[in-house]
Amino acid sequence: MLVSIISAGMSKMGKRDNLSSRELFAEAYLECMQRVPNLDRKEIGAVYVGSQSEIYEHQIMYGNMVAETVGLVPKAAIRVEGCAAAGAIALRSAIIDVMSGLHDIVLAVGIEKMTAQSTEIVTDALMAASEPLEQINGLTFPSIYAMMAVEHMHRYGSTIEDFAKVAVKNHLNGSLNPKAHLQKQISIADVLSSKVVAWPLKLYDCSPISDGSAVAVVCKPELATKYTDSAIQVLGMAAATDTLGLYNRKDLSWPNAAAIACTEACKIAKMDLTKVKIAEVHDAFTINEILLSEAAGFAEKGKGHLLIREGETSINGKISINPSGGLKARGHPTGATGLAQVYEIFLQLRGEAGKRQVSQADYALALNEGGSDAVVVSHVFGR
Amino acid sequence: MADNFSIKGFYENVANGGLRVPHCRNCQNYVMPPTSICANCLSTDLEWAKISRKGRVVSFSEIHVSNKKFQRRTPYVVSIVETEEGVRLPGIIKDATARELRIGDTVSISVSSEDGSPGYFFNILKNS
Ligand SMILES: [Zn+2]
Repeated sequence: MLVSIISAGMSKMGKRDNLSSRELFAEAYLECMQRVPNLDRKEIGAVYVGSQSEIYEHQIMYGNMVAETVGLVPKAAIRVEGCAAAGAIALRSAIIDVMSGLHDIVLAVGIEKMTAQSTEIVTDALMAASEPLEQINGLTFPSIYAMMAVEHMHRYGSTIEDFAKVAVKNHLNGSLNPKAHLQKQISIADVLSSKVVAWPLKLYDCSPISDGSAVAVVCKPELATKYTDSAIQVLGMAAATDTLGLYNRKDLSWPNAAAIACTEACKIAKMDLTKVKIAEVHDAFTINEILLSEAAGFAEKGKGHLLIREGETSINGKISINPSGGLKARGHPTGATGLAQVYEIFLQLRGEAGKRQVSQADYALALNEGGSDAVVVSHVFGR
Repeated sequence: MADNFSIKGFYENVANGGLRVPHCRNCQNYVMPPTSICANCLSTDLEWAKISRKGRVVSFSEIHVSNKKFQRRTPYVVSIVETEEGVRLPGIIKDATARELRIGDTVSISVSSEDGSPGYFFNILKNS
């Protein structure tokens, strides 16, 4: 075991009109602190904040913003960045801080307020995560994932119906999650008839533009029982990179960084992923849930779409993927997503996930990525 | 030819009608994206090498929602193309729809900077 997570919290995800990331963070933080009444905020040694972009609120220095909002000044409070992987990078930074012995208790925060800007501006802010030649030539992020999808379809025979099934499943899960951005069930026909964003990906293949925040408290394992009897444990973690531009990869539909991040996290955890019953993976686009499930080894390379076809990734399927609704339905406030995944796993491993509770879940995987699977952060959890 | 090995230098060549990418004299690697050091061997002994104006479609998509700069072009088709040397370029396929394209199709690469365009384009030569 590397560290314990003694508490977590998450704001309601969605289009949160009139709320800035300050209030969204406060919502997540208060829920988190209510779970651990014995924790005095003065015991928090440092704060790491993941946020994707300064474009949405014209704000950098999110470390300071978070710290001052809940009276943690003058503690060290640092923003980390890795596009949509910022949240998991914040958690990773907090874990490394605690493991180094620098602090006993560290707060990890993820935050993003995206809906204040138009879709054009959000599209542009996300394009900043691609490589200059891709940006100059007008390759949007949905189109980059679409090109992975087209290659996967061509080589392995996955279909737009398979992609649609991922959306349908995640919307069903989202309908069981009272904090999800999208809580409406949809049909395959709804997905296929939704407007094209970047062919073959349609609107319902894409995660929504959301506002939200999620937090987790990382604690030295020896001290965890002082605050809770039901901490969850981080057993392994890893991060890996790929080329910034998709075009520089020989195999477009193989997320190599994700495969490496999973293998290395398992090595540290001294287990393999067959024990994992729950995986929160980065389904920013439906195709990516399929690709990441291959990288994690839940399916062989080129066979990820067969999992969804055969219903094996539903809640209480062989491997429950995105029981929270995933980015697709829970919502995708970019910098918050990595910690929103952890929040779901925190609830699931404690048996507090309500209608979407996965039974007999002892181990879980979180896979958060930024850019075009260009930086991937994995965490393996146990009870 | 541009003397700065960079994306800026690449587009200076494009503006003069040339399609060249930095090529490592030490290990023969093509340096993409264009920059001043070979990531393979760390040599800075580079030259601008002409690349073929012909390539094949590695993958593609048709964009219907874009940023402010490209929204007026929608729908437009983007692609990753591999030249005969194995150099890959992302770019726009002119006058194409996703419906008519297949992975493996051959395209020509034309250099043009009309109407504030990105500098080079792909045109379908033949369907595979
Ligand atoms: Zn070299």
